[in-house]
Order: sequence, then C-alpha cells, then structure tokens
Amino acid sequence: MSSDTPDYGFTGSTDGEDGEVLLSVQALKKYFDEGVSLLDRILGGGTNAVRAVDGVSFDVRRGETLGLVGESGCGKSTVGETILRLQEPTAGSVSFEGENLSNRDGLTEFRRNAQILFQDPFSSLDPRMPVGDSIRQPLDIHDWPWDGEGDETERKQQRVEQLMERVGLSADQLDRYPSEFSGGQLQRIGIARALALDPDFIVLDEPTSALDVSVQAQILNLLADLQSEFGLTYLFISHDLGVIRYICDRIVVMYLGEIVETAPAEQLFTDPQHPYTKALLESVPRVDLKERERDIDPLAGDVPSPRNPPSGCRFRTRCPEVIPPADLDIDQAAFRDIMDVRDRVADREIAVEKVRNTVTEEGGQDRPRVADRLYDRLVDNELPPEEREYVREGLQAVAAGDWDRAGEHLRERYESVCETDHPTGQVSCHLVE
Amino acid sequence: MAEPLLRVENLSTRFFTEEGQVNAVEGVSFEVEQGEVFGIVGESGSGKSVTALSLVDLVESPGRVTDGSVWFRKPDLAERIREDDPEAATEAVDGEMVDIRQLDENERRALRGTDFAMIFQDPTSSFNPSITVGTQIAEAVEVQRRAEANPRTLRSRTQGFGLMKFLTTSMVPTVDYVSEESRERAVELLDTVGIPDPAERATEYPYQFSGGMLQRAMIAQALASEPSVLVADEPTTALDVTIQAQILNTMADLQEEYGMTTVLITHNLGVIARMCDQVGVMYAGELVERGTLGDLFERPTHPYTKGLLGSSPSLEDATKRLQPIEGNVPSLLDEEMEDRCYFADRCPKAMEDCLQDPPEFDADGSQHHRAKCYLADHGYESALPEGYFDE
Ligand SMILES: Nc1ncnc2c1ncn2[C@@H]1O[C@H](COP(=O)(O)OP(=O)(O)O)[C@@H](O)[C@H]1O
Ligand code: SF4
Ligand code: SF4
Ligand SMILES: [Mg+2]
Repeated sequence: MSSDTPDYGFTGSTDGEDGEVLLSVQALKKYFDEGVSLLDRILGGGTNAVRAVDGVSFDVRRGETLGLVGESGCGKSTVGETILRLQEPTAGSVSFEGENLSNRDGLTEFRRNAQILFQDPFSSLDPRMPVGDSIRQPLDIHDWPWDGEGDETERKQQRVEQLMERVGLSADQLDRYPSEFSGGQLQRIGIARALALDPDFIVLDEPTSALDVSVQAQILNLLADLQSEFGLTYLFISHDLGVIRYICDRIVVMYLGEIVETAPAEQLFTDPQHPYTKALLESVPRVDLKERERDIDPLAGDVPSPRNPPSGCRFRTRCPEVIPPADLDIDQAAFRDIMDVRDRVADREIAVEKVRNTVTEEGGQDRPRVADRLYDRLVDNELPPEEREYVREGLQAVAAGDWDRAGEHLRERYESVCETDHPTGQVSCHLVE
Repeated sequence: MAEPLLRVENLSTRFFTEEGQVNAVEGVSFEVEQGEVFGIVGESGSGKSVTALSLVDLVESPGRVTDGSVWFRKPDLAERIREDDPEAATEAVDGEMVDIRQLDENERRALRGTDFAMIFQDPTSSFNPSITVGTQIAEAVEVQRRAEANPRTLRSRTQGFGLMKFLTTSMVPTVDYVSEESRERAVELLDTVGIPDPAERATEYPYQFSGGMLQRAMIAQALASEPSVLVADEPTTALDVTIQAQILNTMADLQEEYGMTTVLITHNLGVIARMCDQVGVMYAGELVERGTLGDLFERPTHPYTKGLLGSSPSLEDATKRLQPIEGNVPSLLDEEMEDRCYFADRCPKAMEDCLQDPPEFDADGSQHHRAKCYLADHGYESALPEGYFDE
C-alpha cells in the first residue's frame, strides 16, 4: 500500500476460521406489523405480522466474508438492514467490537464504521447530484477529517479523487451525473462512497445481482482486492450460490426468517447437511456439458407465508426427508404425501364442496364416495393398505365438514418430530443432532 | 439431412426512436431442427428479447423487422401457396419451407396463432387479473378449436394481455362462450404442467397463484394451441432456483413428450447447459458464435464466448479467479456504431483486421460451429496499438 494514501486503516486479513468476532448478532427478530388490524390484536389470536426475521444469531469475524444466502423473501436484506439500524429490530441484539448497539452512544461511531452497498445502482445514488458529491457526502456528514489537519476542502477533494481512482474510474468523471454511467460503473461509485469513511465492516446486499455476468466478475474481483487491501469485513447477501461460493469464507443459509445451516464455504458446498441446503444446491443448473444428464429432484411447492410459518421446523412442509413417527413403517414419498394432505387439512385448503357436487351430480351422495374422490385427488403415491384406510377415514371427516376431527385423527397417527420440536444447532434439523 | 423446422436468415430489427436508429437485431441467422432446443444467451440489451419478438412477428412500433427471412417447414402450406399463387411461391416457398415474413397478414396471423407460441419472463402480464386462470386457458383452447374448425374466419382483436394478446391478435374469433370441453382441456393442461389439484386451481384468479405456479399456468396456456414452435424468453429469470428447477424439469418433460421445437432465451449459462442442444451467443444485436453445446463450452472460438464462460462463477470450483470482460456493453445506436467488430473495444485479441466488420466463419472447420471473428479464419496476428479505443 502506497504512502500517499495515509487515511486508509489497514488491519490485515485473517482467514476467518477462528478470528476475533467483529460483529455479533443474537436472537435478532424483525416483524412487520402492517396489515394487522387492531381487531386482530385485540382478539390476540396470533397477530399475523410478517415475521421477516425470526430469531437469527451469528457472528461475523474480523477480515472474513460471511455469506447470507437464501431465496427471495427469506429475510436476508432485513437482517442486513436491521444490523445497520436502518430498521429497528423487534427483538434481539447486535454488538460491534464487543459493544451492544442498543446503547445509543455507540451508534454514531458504528454508523461511520459500518456501511452498506445496495443492489440497485440506479436508485441508490441521487440522480441530481454529481457523483463526486455523492462520494463526498459521508465525509461532510461525519466531519471528516477528524485529525483537523490541512485544508478541509482540499483534503476532501483529494480523498474523493483517490477513492474514485481506487475503484477503477477516472477522477475526471467526478462532475458527471449518475445517468452518464453504466450499472457497473455506478456500483463502483457506490463502493467508493461506502469506503469514504474508511469503515471496518460493509454489508453488501446483492451488490452484483443487477449486473451482467461479465461486469459482475469485475465488481467481485474489485471487492476481493479491496478487502485484502483494507482489511475489510463483509456481510455478503446474495441469492446466487455461484457468487456466494466464489466470494465467501463462511456461509449462513436462511429459510423463511430463520437460519438453517452455518458452515465454512468449502464444507457447505461439498458436504451440505440440512435438507434445504442440499435441495438448494442441487437445483442450481451447472455450466457443464453433463448438466443435461444430471437428475434433479426439485423441491415441490412454494415457501409458506411468513405471516403464518409452520410449527417446529419451518422447512417441514417441503422437506424431502421429513421424519415419520418411529413406529410407522413407511417410505418417504408416501409419508410426504400424507404430510401434504395434513397441511391442506390444517389450512382447510381442500375443495370439498366442489367434489361433493360432482359426486351428487353423478347420482351419489355418500361420504365414503366423496372421501374416495378426495383421496384420488390428493394422494399420488401408493400407500400401504393400512395407511390408505387410515387416511381415508380422515378424509371422511373432511367430507363431513369436520376439519378439526380430520386434523386430529391424522395427527394422532402421523405426528412428526419435525412439527412438534423446533430444531436448533449449527444445522437446524432433527436428522443432524 | 432433413430440412430444419425453422431457418432464420439474416434477420434484422431496428427501432426508430427519437434518439436515433437502434440496431437491436443485426443479421441474425440460425437453424433449429425439429424437436430440438436452440438457446440464445447474452447479456441484457444484447437483443435477445427483440429477436424472440421478431420470430413471432410481435415487434411493435417504433420497431420493425427490416430485413431477413424466417423459414418454417410446413409442407401443406407450401403446397397450397404453390397452387394458389405460383408467382409468389418462387420467393416465399423453398421446398417444404415457407418464409413467414413474405406471407400476407392473414396467413401470418393464422400461422402465428396455431404453430407458434411464446412465453415471457413475467407471467402476470399474460393473464387478465379479473378472469379465472382456468377460463383464460380454456379461452386459448377455444380459440384454437374454432380456428381449426374454420380457418378462414379470422378476425383481429387488439385488446389483451401478453400471451392472450398474442393469441387474440393472431386470429381470433372473440371468445364469449367457452365450451365445457375446452374447460376440461384447460384442467388437463394445468395438470400437464404440474399444478397440483388442477380442477381447483382452475377456478382461482391469477393473484391467488405464486410466481412459479403462474409461470406454469402460462406454459399451459401456451400449450393450448399445440404449437410446433415454442419461443420462451427468460422463462425462469424471475424465479428462485428451486422453483426454476421445477419449471425447467417440466419444460424438459414437455419437450420430450410433445417433441416441441423450442427457442429458449436466457442470460444464464447454467440454464443453457441444462436445456439446449444448440446455442447462439448474442452480443450487440449479433449472434457472434453458434454451434452445439459442446462446440461452445469446450471449443469456444469467439473471445466474447470465452469471456462469458470465464466470468461465470462456478458452483464446483471456487479457486479459479474470475476473468471479467473489461469495459461495458456498447451502444446500439446506429450513429454510434462503427463499421467494425462490435466487440473490438473490449477484445483482448483485437487486431488490424477487426476494424472491419467480420463475416461469419466456420470454426474448427465445422459448418455447424460458426463464429463472427477473424480468429476463426486465420488466428491471431498482431495487436492493435495500445489504447487504440480510448477517447
Ligand atoms: N420498444 C423499444 N423501443 C426502443 N428500443 C428498444 C425497444 N425494445 C428494445 N429496444 C432496444 O433494443 C435493444 C435490444 O433489447 P432486448 O432485445 O430487450 O435485449 P435483451 O433481451 O437481450 O436484454 C436494446 O438496445 C433496447 O434498448
Ligand atoms: S427437521 Fe425434519 S422437516 Fe426439518 S429439515 Fe430436518 S428432517 Fe426436514
Ligand atoms: S473479430 Fe477481432 S475484435 Fe472481434 S472478437 Fe474476433 S479478434 Fe476480437
Ligand atoms: Mg430480455
């Protein structure tokens, strides 16, 4: 590092294996209440707030890149923004360099020391402001330079020029407006701005997702170079597993507001433990000639609503390894079918009325026939005779309109540990304990 | 060898905007065999979507297909044109192939509605939010049935949403009545594309569908006309990877079952690898390289193809440093485009020759692997002076 850039601190990089904890997140929760009526709250019957982040804990070690990966809507960005207090947490705590941030005094210092870079380079810079001013803004807000030496305006100008050049642009372009730059260039400007106050920690929220792959590679390499040059610590949020693998030392996988697995990058990709992580990795198409022959068994269904997440393990409604009760001898596909029927009974999401009508139209009336018809519609796999009978009994209760009894009947025989107990641990799954 | 099902020749599409003429698609040529998937890959703004729209004749003002042919194998139509109008047939018919662009408006619409279907990245634009999904698919089935029963009564309607618009502007009797038969077929189609409990889902409105489910419903709607060519523009780009995997599996199954010929557009090389037999790489409106999947992945010739491969992070190996392509995607404004290889300002191998627009050469001596690059012709000679393209 050259001596004419005296303002950059250099802490040196650690491999992140068991380095010093820079930032620690404990039991962080963020619920969004919009759309929950007062009446809902008075009645108290489970306020249906969106539980965007629901009890998340992890450490970020100095000098590492910690990846936060998961599908859209699983709470990644909310974690990033809540850590930086761009959103107030509902519960839980964040500490930085050992200091709890709910203590207000620490917050200004933290805001200087922790920065964020967003996905959309076009909306994250003020379109009416020359980009040089945008980069200078944090210096003005935080009364840089803190040593008070030299001419302030001149030093700021120098600093802005240095930053612009360090991110691969020319100082000649500082007077230009955002509309005159490409997406990749704007992301470089965003990086320059984030670096202005010489932070230790940067949250990168999908920083390359809006960019084309050739430009994405430029930005990823730039971020990696800056990290080793300035000893930066990154929280890298992305849905793109290839990018995550390339840039991260350790990885946290999220599903529906919770962490399902935390592991060093190499280990996560070569030996994933959680059934969700496995499914996620399996579903990414490889840039490989043999990709066509690779058998993918994709996860069925969609992510449930964060307003009403499943009990126990949140992944249980889609998990291809959901655990049957010990005394039940049944194969996975059949048990998955039964669990799907149970979910639909619980949500009352079966069109009984319509089936009853068609049966009536055909001249029939009786419940067993409606139950048979429901069975055919809902169960794809061959169940053992005993289970077939038992499930059909449940569906007869559905046919009679008694959802509660149906639910209870099915629960009695098929209740899984995955729905009763919330798994915990580095890999939160009852199979890995 | 048999004729391909689709042969695109020198297709060019321009937009005449206030800023000037945009050369969105420039002399694009490729062939697709019956039952194969031809992938078009490239970065945003490279002209992929406009190519798709040009194929199905849906380019809207201020845009226009300005040049080229879209030959489609349709023996009965070729025969009919030869009989009805031998004069026109000399130009518009080639053996069993018919050049769609030379057909008259009515013929073109009929063909577009029955033989071609298109699916888009955003399924919400393909559905009317106030009509149930089942009814809308049933309408598409109905349209198809009536057209088959009575191919001459074509009437055009301009209102519509995405795919329905595509169908309705294609042919169409207004559908105010949907037969029970068509409704049943709609449920079958929903089942085919893997929607659980299709009879129930058919009675729901688009907003009740998740993104992935609506994407499936759009595929069902596209299948209603039993098309022989499906043009799919980034069909999984807006979806999460687990849902993308579901949809790609469904598309691959349908492909196998119906032997459908597909043009698949994507920016994702993984999707290309999973789905395609043949691939074209698009850059600045041109197909700069095309060939089999193996040609492109194992023997890439054009420096841009190599650049794309080198800049894609791999899931299998994190150790290789990414090799980005320096610089940015060029402007497609005609007045800013010079008459040279459009990639020259970013190309690490740019030479003197490259200051002239390269034609398409055979790569590796193979007629099916082609590249618009002088390297395919004579290899690397001497570099341009350093900083040649800097202002
Ligand atoms: N309606 C339009 N008016 C003007 N220019 C357009 C229009 N649609 C597309 N273009 C231009 O055509 C070029 C190719 O765009 P497109 O086919 O959408 O690229 P891709 O699908 O590869 O991202 C771009 O320069 C784009 O701005
Ligand atoms: S706890 Fe049960 S449902 Fe959850 S991931 Fe493990 S096996 Fe699957
Ligand atoms: S023609 Fe020349 S500039 Fe263009 S890609 Fe080939 S080598 Fe590079
Ligand atoms: Mg596009």
